[in-house]
Order: sequence, then structure tokens, then C-alpha cells
Amino acid sequence: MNLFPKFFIVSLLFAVAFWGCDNTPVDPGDDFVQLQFNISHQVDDQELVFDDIKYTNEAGNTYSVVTLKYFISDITLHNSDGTEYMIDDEHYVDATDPTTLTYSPGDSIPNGDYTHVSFIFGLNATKNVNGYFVNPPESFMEWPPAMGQGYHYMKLEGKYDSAGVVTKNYNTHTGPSMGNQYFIEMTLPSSSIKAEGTNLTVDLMMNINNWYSGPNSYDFNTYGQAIMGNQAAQKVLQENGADVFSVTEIR
Amino acid sequence: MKNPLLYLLSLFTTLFLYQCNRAPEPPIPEPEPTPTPYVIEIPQGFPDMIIPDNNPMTEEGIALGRKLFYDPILSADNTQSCGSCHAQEHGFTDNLKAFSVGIDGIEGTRNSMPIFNAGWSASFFWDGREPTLEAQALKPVTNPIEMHNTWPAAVASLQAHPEYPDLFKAAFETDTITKDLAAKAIAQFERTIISANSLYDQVGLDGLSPAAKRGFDIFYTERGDCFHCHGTKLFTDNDFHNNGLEVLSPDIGYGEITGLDSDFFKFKTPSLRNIEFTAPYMHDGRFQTLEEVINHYSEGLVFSQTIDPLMKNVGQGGVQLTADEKQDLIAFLKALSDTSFTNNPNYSQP
Repeated sequence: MNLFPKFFIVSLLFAVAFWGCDNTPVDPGDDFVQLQFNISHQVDDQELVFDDIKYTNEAGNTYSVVTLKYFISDITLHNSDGTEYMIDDEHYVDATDPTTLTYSPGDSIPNGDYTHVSFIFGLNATKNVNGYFVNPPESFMEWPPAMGQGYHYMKLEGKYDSAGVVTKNYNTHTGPSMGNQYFIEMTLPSSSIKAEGTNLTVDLMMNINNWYSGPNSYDFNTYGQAIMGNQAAQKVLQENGADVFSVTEIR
Repeated sequence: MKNPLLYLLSLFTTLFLYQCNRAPEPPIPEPEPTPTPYVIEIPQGFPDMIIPDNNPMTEEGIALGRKLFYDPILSADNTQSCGSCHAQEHGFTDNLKAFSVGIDGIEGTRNSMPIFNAGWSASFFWDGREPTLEAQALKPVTNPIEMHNTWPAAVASLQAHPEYPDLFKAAFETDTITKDLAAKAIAQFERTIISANSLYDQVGLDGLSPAAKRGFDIFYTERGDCFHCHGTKLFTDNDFHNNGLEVLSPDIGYGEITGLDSDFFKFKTPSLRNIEFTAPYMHDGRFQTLEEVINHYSEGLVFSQTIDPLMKNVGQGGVQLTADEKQDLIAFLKALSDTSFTNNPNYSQP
């Protein structure tokens, strides 16, 4: 007796019965690793404490930090064979909000040996258009159309002692000034990673003082406020910003 | 059943139907009427509205909330409603009063806040002490210088009323009225109060007068720098700032709530929509006109330790606008007035 037809029908029925309602997503398997970035902020070797006028930059301004909000986006892993894996995603950081200091990009990355990690500080020109973010807090980073449209890349604000006598406000606001894109393609030093297993954590640290030095000394008495339309200030910050992040640990 | 294949066929057919839960439901006798879901229409470019899972919008809930909003039954002596200090024609603020007066004739200490587009906020009152509209709605009833009632007394009045028990039943499917249900209904109504149809919304920048266009440029550049706190379609960041007002009272605002020195003298940013209708201005109603407000940011800033870093040129008192620039800015601000909102019959006393 040939049992094959019956076996076939039974199998088919099993398949129909269980396929009918089960839409469990496919497990990506072991070939992908979930990245997580833990973000911290310092001023040189001091942990960032808000609201105290106690930090000193290269120009000699003694200053506080009241607000620090910014975007990082498009994390890219560079393989030793020259290929790249870019995660098309954006992350908003409010340094006063601990929930934003951990970032797990939407996509996991393929296993591999990567020579370094890079990302965009701010948003690329395609994303940096009005309406890209509908909801706060991201939408509150709006950069008005009258000055180029899109979003602030960073709001770094506080107070400084001018000439040691008068306390003034400063606003280090970076963004697409007058339509010129000043986002920064940041390459993280010492970011060689071997992606395997299930999770990989990268500890990132921003040194705020690096915004104000190397290669350009940035003085609040020159660029204290109202720099959104100031091309020279935006250029200086773009150049200085290249090294504000470092990798403190990968595990 | 002799044929094993037929047996298997029956078995798997049963299994398939069971898996998919397609068996007919037993007949339900007579369903109770349920509240009608209300889908709120979000204006173009506005964020997603914050609607708590435990207070979905319904036609019946909104209607009940509207009735409660305008009914003095919630006050101790049956003389004051929410609408007494929040008049629609004035952007739901109190007409030209710095401080509203409660049922005992006592003045409050802060200016009546406008109520519109509140469904996009996660903090309420000038000091942000309540995180939801539902929590906010509970407070004026028991405030000793506002409605000066107790919630048990207010609930008893509602329960004894000839209409409210049926209205609560229709909205919340219960015979028992509670203060939380009353607050939920008021919150539902308040979420429907939307203003998004000003002249600027209708015609955009190109359709504005030359003066308003110049005002737009002042507003949206660092010449006036209004946009950092009054940006997006909401014209508010819904955040808290010390905007450089001279300290005239011991009111420390947001600092009272957080307990942080760094938050002293911060108050919530109001929307600039309908600003033409909501005088007087600031948390204490100290400015009677838009001219006075703009003069403050132009020449009147006063330094204090917590003054917001966004306040420009504080040493000289502000951004130093010319007289013409001030008039241009006012022209733009008046383009944010929305009379279809102040006259919307859906928001008026039922």
C-alpha cells in the first residue's frame, strides 16, 4: 500500500491548520548583533553638572551648561573589506533626560569585523526638512524656514562670566544655517569592533569643551548668541565638532 | 467512521476552525448602549495628541464634559463654573483681569490660562504641577479661592441632579458618579478645543500683509528670537522658562514644584495663538497690551540667576527692536488670531 498520498494530505492539513493564524516574525538568527550606545557628557575630565558656572574653555570663558540637546543619526559601520553598513535612523539626546542617553538603533547589524564606526552629528540634508519630525521633543528642535528650515543639530546653552564681571547668556546652536548644511560626519576614534553574539554596547562620551577648541578657539564674547545665521560661527563649530565624541568602552 | 482519512479530515477541519476562533459567538441578549467613539481630527502639521488609554474620547463623554465645564454646579455656592474664568471669546481666559475672583470674592494669584490645544500638553498650570488634563480638572473645584467646594459635595450634587446620572451612564456606562469621571469628561471636552485656523494658517506667509511679513522675519530669526520658545504649529514649547521678568512677588513658579533652585521663577510658555484675545499677559497678568509685552523683551529684561539662556542681550534689556519693528511683530502676532475658534459653536455653553 502506498502511504504517500495520505501522508501528503495529513501534512498539508497540518500546514493549513497552523499557518492559518500564526504570523510569528522570522527570527533573524545569530547572524545579527543589536547595538546599544550609552552616551555621557563631560567637560574635559569633569562630569557634566548642569547650571553651575564652573567650566572654563580654551578662550578663557568660565561657563555653565543649562541645556544640551542634539541629534545623532545614520550610524555607519565600516568593514575592513571596504563595505559599509548604515543604520538609517535618528536619535535625539537631551542630556538632562536619562532615557535619551541610551540608544539602540532600530536595525541590528550583521556579524563582522568593523574597522571603525561613524555617524552624522545632526541630520543629513534629506532628513533635515520641515515636517520630518511630527512629535515633540524632536519637533521642538525646529530651525525656522526664514533661516534655512529643518532642525537644530544641537542646542547647547548656558551662562558665562564675561570679563569676570557680568554674567551673560550664550547659545551654541548648530544647524542648516541659511540653507548651508553644517552637519558633521563624525568618525569615532578607537571604534574597531568585532560584531558577534547578540548584543554589543558602545560607551560614547562627548567632551563639551571640544566644541570650543581645536582647531579653532571659540570665544563667547565673539560668538555668544545669535549665531544661527552666522556662517563663520557655524563653520568653526563644524570644524571643532569633529572630535567631540570618543569611545570609552566597547563590550 | 471506517475511513481513517475521513477521520483525519474531520479532525483537522475542527482544529483549523478552532485555531482561527471562527466558531459563532453565542447570542447576546440585549446589548447595553455603549459610548460612541470620537475620532479627533488632527490639524495639518500638529503632533499626535496625548489621549490617555484610560480616557478614550467619546461623543457622550465630550458632551458631558462640555456641560460640566459651563455648569456652576461644581462650585460650593452654585455660582461659578470653569467657563466663568475661561471665556471662549477671550481664548478661554478671563476677560482683562490679571487675577480671577473666586466664589468668596477673593482674588487668585495667577492669571487665568488660555485653554486651547491643551491636548498636546503634558503639564498644566503656570507651574506645571499637574501632568494631565484629568488631574488638572480636579483642582479648581477644591481650590479655596476658586470654587471652594469639596468633591464629595460636588459628586453628591451631580448624583442628585435630574440629568447628570443618565449623562454619566451614557458616557461611562456606570450608575455611580465619581470625581474622576467628572474630570475625565471635562478633559475630553477640553481636548476638542482646538485652534488651528488663523489667518496665517489659512494664507501662509505669502498671504500676509507686508507688515506681518516683516513681523514674521523678526519672529522667526534671532532679531526677535520668539520662535525658540514659541515655535512649531503649537506656538509654544510647552516648557518652563524664566523670561527675565522683574520679581514682584514671592511666586517662584516651577521651582515650587521641582524644588530645584535652578527652576525658580520659571513659568510655562503659553501659546501665542490668539494672543490678541488673551490679555493681560504673563503669569501675573502684569502687561495689559502686546506693546508692553514686546517692550519687555526689547528693553525690559531683568537679569536673575535662572534667567533663560535664550533671553538675548540681557545687559541692554533685550533685543532692542525699533518702533517699526515692534509694530511689524504685532501685525504678525495678530495674524495668529483664530476667530473660527473663538466663535466655534461646539465650544460654547450648551
